[in-house]
Amino acid sequence: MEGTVFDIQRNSLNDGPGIRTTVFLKGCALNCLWCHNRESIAVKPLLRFYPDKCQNCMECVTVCDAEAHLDLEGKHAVDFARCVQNWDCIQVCPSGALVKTGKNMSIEEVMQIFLKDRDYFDRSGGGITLSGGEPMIQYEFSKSLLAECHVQGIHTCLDTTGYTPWERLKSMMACTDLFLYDYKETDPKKHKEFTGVDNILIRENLARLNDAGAAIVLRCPVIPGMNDNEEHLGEIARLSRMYEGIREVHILPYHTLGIGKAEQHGIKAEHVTFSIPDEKIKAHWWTILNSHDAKNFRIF
Amino acid sequence: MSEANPHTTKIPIFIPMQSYWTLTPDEQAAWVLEFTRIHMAFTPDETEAREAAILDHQLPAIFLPPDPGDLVTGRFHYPPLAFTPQPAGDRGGFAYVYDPKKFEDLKSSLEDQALVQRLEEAEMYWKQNDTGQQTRLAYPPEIAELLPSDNWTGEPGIGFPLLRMSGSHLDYGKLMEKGIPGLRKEIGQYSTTHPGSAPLFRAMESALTSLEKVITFHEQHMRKLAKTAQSKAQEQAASKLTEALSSIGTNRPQTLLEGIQLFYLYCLCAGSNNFGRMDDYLAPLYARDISNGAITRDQAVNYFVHLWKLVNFREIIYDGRVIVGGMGRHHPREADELALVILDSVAISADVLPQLTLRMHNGIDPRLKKKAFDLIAGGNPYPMLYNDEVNVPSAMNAFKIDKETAKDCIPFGCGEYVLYRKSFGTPSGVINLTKALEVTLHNGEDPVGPRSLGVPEANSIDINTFDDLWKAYTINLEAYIHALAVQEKIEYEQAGNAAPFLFFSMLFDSCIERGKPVFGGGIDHLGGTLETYGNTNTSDALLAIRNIVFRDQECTLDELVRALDNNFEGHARLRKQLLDQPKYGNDIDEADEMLVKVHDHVCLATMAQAEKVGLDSYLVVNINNSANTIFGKYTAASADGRLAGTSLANGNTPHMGMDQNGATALLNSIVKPSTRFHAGASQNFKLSREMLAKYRDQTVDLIDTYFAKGGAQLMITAVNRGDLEKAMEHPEAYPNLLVRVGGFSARFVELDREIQLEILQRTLY
Ligand code: SF4
Ligand code: SF4
Repeated sequence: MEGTVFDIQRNSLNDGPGIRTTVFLKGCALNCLWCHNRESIAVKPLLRFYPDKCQNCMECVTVCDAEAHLDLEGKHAVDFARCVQNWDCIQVCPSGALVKTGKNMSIEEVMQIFLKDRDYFDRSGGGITLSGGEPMIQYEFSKSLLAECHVQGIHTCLDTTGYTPWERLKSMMACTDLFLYDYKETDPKKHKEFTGVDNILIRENLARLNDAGAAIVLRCPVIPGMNDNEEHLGEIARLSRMYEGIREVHILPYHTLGIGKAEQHGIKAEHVTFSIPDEKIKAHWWTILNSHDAKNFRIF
Repeated sequence: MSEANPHTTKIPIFIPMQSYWTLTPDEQAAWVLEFTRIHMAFTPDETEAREAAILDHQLPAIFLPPDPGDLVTGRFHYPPLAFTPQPAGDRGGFAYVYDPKKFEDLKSSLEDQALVQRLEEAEMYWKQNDTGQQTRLAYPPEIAELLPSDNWTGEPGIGFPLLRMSGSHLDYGKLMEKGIPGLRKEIGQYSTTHPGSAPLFRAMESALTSLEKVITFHEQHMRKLAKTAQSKAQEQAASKLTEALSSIGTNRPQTLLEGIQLFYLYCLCAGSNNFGRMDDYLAPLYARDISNGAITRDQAVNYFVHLWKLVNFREIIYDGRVIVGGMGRHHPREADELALVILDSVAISADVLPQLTLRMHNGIDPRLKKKAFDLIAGGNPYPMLYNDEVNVPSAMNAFKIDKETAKDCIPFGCGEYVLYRKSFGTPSGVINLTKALEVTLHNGEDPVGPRSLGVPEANSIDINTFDDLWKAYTINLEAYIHALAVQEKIEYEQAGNAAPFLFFSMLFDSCIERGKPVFGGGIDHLGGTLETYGNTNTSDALLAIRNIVFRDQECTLDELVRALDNNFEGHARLRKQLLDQPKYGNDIDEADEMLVKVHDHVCLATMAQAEKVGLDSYLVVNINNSANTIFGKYTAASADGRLAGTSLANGNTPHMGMDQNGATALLNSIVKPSTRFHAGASQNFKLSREMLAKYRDQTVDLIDTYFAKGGAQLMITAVNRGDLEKAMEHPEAYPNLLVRVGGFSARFVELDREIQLEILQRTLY
């Protein structure tokens, strides 16, 4: 069985406890305004172009039958919409300016990489994390991979939006030690506005996971001016008190690291940029969460 | 200009106990002439008396008077002539060292032409009698042919000799225990049992008298400074130091201050650049002072801060090792306390030296480890971390010694191991593996320099397969390894012929007991080391050639060589293919296996030389000063995709920027080459400050796991993202940004641009 992986990060320190290897799977059903992994939304691999590395040699223009590479008076440009993903250009680009994001890997290949860092996992209380995208889009692959990790005795985290049929999520419990569960917005209407879908299923699944005894870290991206209001933060606090399964709440302040990356994949999209919260704003969040008796929360 | 007449010129009389550096130029010339006269006055078999007389002449003359605020003291510069194991800075030479540049400076400051002429006559003598020069003259023709020059910083080549007796870590524990009186007593005892060694013992006693004069010189100056002090505090400090100095001339040291002062003045008289297991040998004195209430912990920290000022005054950035922690100490508990003091002092002084080295092991005091990480997290390049659990068994194998002896294995300089008190292992030379491959690919021509290099046996091989290439490369390399091993042996012989190195011989095990000088059969273990460079580039290049030329047949070897000669201009596609081949440092077996092949070959070929040339050991060190950058300058483009003239990789690390699979992958790779047959490899690791601040526990786990998997050593530089770039743009804003270069640390803004770039391009984890 193969999955489409767009990155593997070893020595990953912020996707669960200890030292971890995080596998990022392609595909996502949501489309968050602030997404910093836009290249992950489509399941298929994408062409990536690093303008800084390009030497304008036009080798790519010569080989691309789809005419996705353009010679604009000596300056090379890419028309990503025309690309048919046959990767001919990558073979000829001398500078490494063209690469493919996403590749198919078998369970064995991924496991081999996991096992190389087993000693680091064991000493630090770490393990592996499946992230994305939304790993549940590649459900069969995700499930088999985590099951195999359990056979090998490796601790597993599943980073999920929760936007998936309950039966599927439930079936992941057997092979998932810790759910990193995204919680983005409390108001269903706003949720739809921000992410493209409402949060009814997500909230139901969270409740069910909790009832079924899962260990959960609630991960909350907080975007100034969007969801950093008292109503949403107060609800996060309430969930942290109400659900025993929620071991920790991680508040993840908005950052802009994803923007350049999206552009390199030709994804200009309608992505909006927001302001990056400073320490004062984060302190304000802290006060709100604290005044609502939020349990075990950390602002990153 | 009047005609100079030597017979009417008055040569000033040099006054004993006066600093050379406070003399008039005429007096300085007289001092130099007197040095020469003394050297000439002895026959070649009177080496002991000759060294004693020369030491008597240069001590305390080479010292500068102390500074008013000194809490501890001792500064010197070498004059145009000196007896030393190793001159300051980058210059080579040992024993009797003639410095032409300083001669020129002196001559140009003189008005009396007759004096100038006499100095020139002296120079004629020293051009023959400088020990380094005599060593060069002693090479047999086949060695001289392979090693025509020692100007490795200015000419292309595969191998170059290094002329120096570097890397002494003296037994200051013995000095603390015995003091000068105890040493005299020991010498006296052995004089009666070894009457044949009388000249040596007499010379040792004379050297101790010279040391006493050095102490008196400082005592007299401090006494004066106490009188003229500007403040009460200064006066007290000066009086205290005067007292300490007056005591150590006649007694063994009783306090930490006396201990530090005696150790340091002895060390300077010996010209030794590394400072041994300091936490251990000073531990009893510190413990006593604290339990007496004689000093506070803060005062002790302050003494060390002052000591580091003196150490930084010397031009020894590649040395200045202080070792703390580890197995095999005599006073482990007290030493841990003092090690904590030393760590604090290094954090306060935040300077290039000392090169603080922490030996870690499973039983390490957790406070030491915690403090070490506090320092590193604060952006300090120290301490460097060494892992006894790996190094002790490795040393047993490499040096062929038992476990107890191996516990005293410590690094000097840029990271070469020696056995504390027991061994010498000066690096005999530097060798550029990437150049050896380059020359092999050109059938003996050097595409960068005028000389033909390599040996006919290799250069005549017709290369049709990867095995042919490997064979030719190894034959070439081995020829240079052998030449440098022979040169090491000759160097020691010349050192032994030139002088007994009295201050060394008194503080290396067995010399006094045997009645023999350190390089004349006295020392237990006479070893050598060979500094290798370009190991990673060579291995990545070999793999790329194997895959692209011989496996995939994407191009012929000739086409590849043409691309390299043109620095890949017009061959961008081929360069990309070469760059796309697996690289060392990514935990990819194919690449790491090639590195291991290259590593095993050079290490084992070197190790095998010991027996051939008659040394107790001869071992590779894969360390780094800035030689990776200098050698890189004289190396054309290489088949790993590296461009002509750019830096080679640094020590046992990937070529900069080539490690792309994360920190665990890097660490997994760098534990693969065996540590069991070399004398040290350095691993630089650039870590972001944020990572250490935010993920401290995981970072410590990461490093612990690396050590548990066989990591021998790690040198961590924690920097802020962007700091280095900003420091290149606005150096004035970052005067104190310390970075690890390779085997030494430096202020980033003071480094050459190429070295700055090399550091910048290293992957930041
Ligand atoms: S991947 Fe193929 S279609 Fe897409 S740009 Fe490259 S050559 Fe053209
Ligand atoms: S082949 Fe690569 S370097 Fe050349 S124009 Fe295309 S993207 Fe740029």
